[in-house]
Amino acid sequence: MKRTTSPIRPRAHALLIALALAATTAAADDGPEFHLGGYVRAAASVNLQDAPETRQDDAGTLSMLRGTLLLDGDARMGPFRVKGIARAVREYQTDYLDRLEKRVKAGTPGGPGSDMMDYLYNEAEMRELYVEFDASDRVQFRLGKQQVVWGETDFFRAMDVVHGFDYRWRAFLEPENEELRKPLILANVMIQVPEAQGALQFLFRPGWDRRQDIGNTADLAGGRWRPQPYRGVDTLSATDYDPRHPEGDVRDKTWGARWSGRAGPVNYSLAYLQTYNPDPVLNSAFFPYKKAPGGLLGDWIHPRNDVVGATLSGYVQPIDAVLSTELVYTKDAAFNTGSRSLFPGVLPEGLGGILRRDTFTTMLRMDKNLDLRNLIGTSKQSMFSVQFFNTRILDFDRQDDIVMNVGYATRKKRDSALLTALLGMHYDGDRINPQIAAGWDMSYGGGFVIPSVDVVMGDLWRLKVEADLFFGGKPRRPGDLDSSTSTMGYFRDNNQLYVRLTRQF
Amino acid sequence: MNNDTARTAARWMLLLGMALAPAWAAAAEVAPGTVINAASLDKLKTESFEGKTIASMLTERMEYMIRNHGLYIRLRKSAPIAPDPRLLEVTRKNAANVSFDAATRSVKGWTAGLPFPDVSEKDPHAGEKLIWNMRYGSMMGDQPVEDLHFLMVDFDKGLDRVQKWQIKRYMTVGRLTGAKTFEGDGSEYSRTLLYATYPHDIRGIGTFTIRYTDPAKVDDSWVYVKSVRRVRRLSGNAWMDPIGGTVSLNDDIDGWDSPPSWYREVKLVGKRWVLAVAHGKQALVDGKATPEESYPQVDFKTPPFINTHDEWEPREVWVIEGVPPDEHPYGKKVVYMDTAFPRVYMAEMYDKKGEFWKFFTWHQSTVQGKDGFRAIGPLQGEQVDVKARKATIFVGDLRVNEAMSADDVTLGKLEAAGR
Repeated sequence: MKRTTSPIRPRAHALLIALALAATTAAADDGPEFHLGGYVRAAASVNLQDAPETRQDDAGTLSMLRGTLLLDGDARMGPFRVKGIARAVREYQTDYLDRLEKRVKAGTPGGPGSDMMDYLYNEAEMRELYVEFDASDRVQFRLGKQQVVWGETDFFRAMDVVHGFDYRWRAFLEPENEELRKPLILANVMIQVPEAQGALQFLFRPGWDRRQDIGNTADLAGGRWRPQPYRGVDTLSATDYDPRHPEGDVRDKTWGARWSGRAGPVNYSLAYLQTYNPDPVLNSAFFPYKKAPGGLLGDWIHPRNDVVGATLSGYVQPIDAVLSTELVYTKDAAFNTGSRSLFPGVLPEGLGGILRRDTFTTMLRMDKNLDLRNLIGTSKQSMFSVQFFNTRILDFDRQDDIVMNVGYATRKKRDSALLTALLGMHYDGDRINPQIAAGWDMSYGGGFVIPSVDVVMGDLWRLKVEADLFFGGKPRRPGDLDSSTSTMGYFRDNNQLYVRLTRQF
Repeated sequence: MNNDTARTAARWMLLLGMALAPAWAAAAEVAPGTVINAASLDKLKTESFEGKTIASMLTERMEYMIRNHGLYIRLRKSAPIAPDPRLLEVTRKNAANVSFDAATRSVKGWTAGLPFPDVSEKDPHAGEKLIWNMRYGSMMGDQPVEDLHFLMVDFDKGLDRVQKWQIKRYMTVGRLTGAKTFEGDGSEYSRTLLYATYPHDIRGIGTFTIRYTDPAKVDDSWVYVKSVRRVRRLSGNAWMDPIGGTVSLNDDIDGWDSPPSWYREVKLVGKRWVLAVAHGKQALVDGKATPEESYPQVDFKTPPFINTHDEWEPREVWVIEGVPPDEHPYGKKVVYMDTAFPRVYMAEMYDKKGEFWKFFTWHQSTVQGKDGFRAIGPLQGEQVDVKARKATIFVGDLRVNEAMSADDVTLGKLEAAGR
């Protein structure tokens, strides 16, 4: 598969240039203001366990050595405000990544995993570039490449599906999810309605995005975050991405609307969105779905679906806690089927075709401040948050034989529930900020614990040290013919120590 | 000289001596510009300034700070400060309608102005009434954009970090501008937007708070978390949380930001004179490269870096003591409020064990808004945590009553600020 390098399609480029010129023209009246910030960042992670896929002992070896430059610019020119965020990333190919790449070249050559560094890790792109202006006191337009976040959920995503996420370089672990979200070219209109204590937001996506910008992108090419036992296995050597599928075409125009407001002590929102199935599904070569795939085993597609959601959030004084919920109905979520391999040991499971089912996602969360000052000497109250997240497949029928993912035999259950908790602490006037995040897969087993500490060093330097520890979850070893591996099992043998040093400006 | 003459002369000398004796015994008057510091304190304590002894104008904690933590005080000649006539006029008009409800420790019938312009020291609710004056007295009007910088200081290392914030506060009741003293149904007291602009990792982070007129209702607060680009509801107890990584709690803004009825007990200790900064000079200069140029009233050279070039003058103050609720970090707070208008110059905070913890100062100043309103508010202040040996110095560019509406301070604007 060839990766397009141009960050913005020509039509979009022309629009953005036009908007920038308009803004520049307007600058003649009011003096322009400009602000440039950003950071230079070095990050490294070390394997704390051996990856069974390789012959060598990988424990203690570098799995990542990454350098990032991010430029974040704001300009105000007359009535226009322009925002641009550019990011360039270069990674050093560690011995571990070199071993994975050699394994790809030896076993599954021909795909992008054979040039792993450029496909999975290195990048240079204009992540956001938009112009913003007020059409009136109440109506604000934001036009261009941007991020829009809806919903309330932490860790996982229910209504936060305007954009896909790029999970290739650090799975779901990077806490600043603005760094993982894949911005889109949007017209975003916000209308304030103070009489009703709320705001109406309209989104329109004209379909000018790059082929890789819709849906989530996971590591299918055999890198360090490829779920086990497929590290060093490039699935994209036998499959391809199809961004032009009739059920999910990147050129499709999509839209959404959200009302968010307050009613007494409660915040609420109601939203509708046309979007793309966040996770890709495989249009199997053996059971094609509305189009014959070009890839040997099939093509990955993101079928379009409709999402309707509501959120509620409010402070409950008797228990001194903030309670939140998010309820999301997704019409025509897409799944792969076929838990038995057509040719065990040769072909992966999940090639039984695509099935569409409606789902209902429920999130319940409680945020509570805990006073641990006398117990562990924190300098202020600590934020504790516990969250329940469940996705139910409506009209579920076990005979449908829906799989969790292609490449695994585990069948999806009616309910997939996860429980997560987070405790954020602060010491020394917020200079030292430890945090513990934990999750438990209530439906399939296994979980994670992520202790971390952020250290603030003056105005300019920030240090983060984090351990990513996974437990439980049945593993699938290389050569196993069948498995009951689930989400947490994907991360088995992949505990990491992560260190990140940032110099901001 | 015969004996009679000699006796007469001796009597006159004695009488003259007796007449002059009080003058000889009185303290010497020190000049403006005199500096009270650890080296000069003992000598100056018995001397006077504007007719009052220095000792009588230093609180026990001021002396402690001078002797143990390097605080110094440069004297200036005092000058009168008059609140805006509109405030006094509306106070006079409404005085008859206002009453104190002892059962709820709250105010009834207030619409604008000071609810309790004449507080008696003998009044058992004097402390609460004075804090209500500060809360409702609207000394500053709307604050459209105030550059608010926090300088994080370490006693040993000096300036460690700078955070730059912007604040927008819209007063919904007690308004002294426009046709009406309130907007909407009068249930909201104020709306406040506070968001960071520097450094990069906190740029865009901010809070939006609605405070209600009814003190039985807790604040509604939201935070915008830029890294996940989402607004999140905050606990109703956020009023007693620290502001970012500063020494100050939200409750410490202006000395006492919460309704007095949220405290377990508020009492008036008495009236006295103290030295205070009542004529603070311009504290923030835009576009300068160095901290010394940007914050001209901060002494960056003298350890422990908690001092100011602003000068202190004698002011008569109320001494008010409060005992916060159990969940609050403080065991006790003492504030020193001008007797002529409800502005706090100094505060002392004690922990739950009763140990001295924090020492705050506010440099009050008179600022005229574009509508002519004469606001009295702080331009700078030192917030010293003596236990941690750290301080936060806040420096502000106070602007008041510029064109602004309630719709400029909304949750949507918080999200917009977080671009």
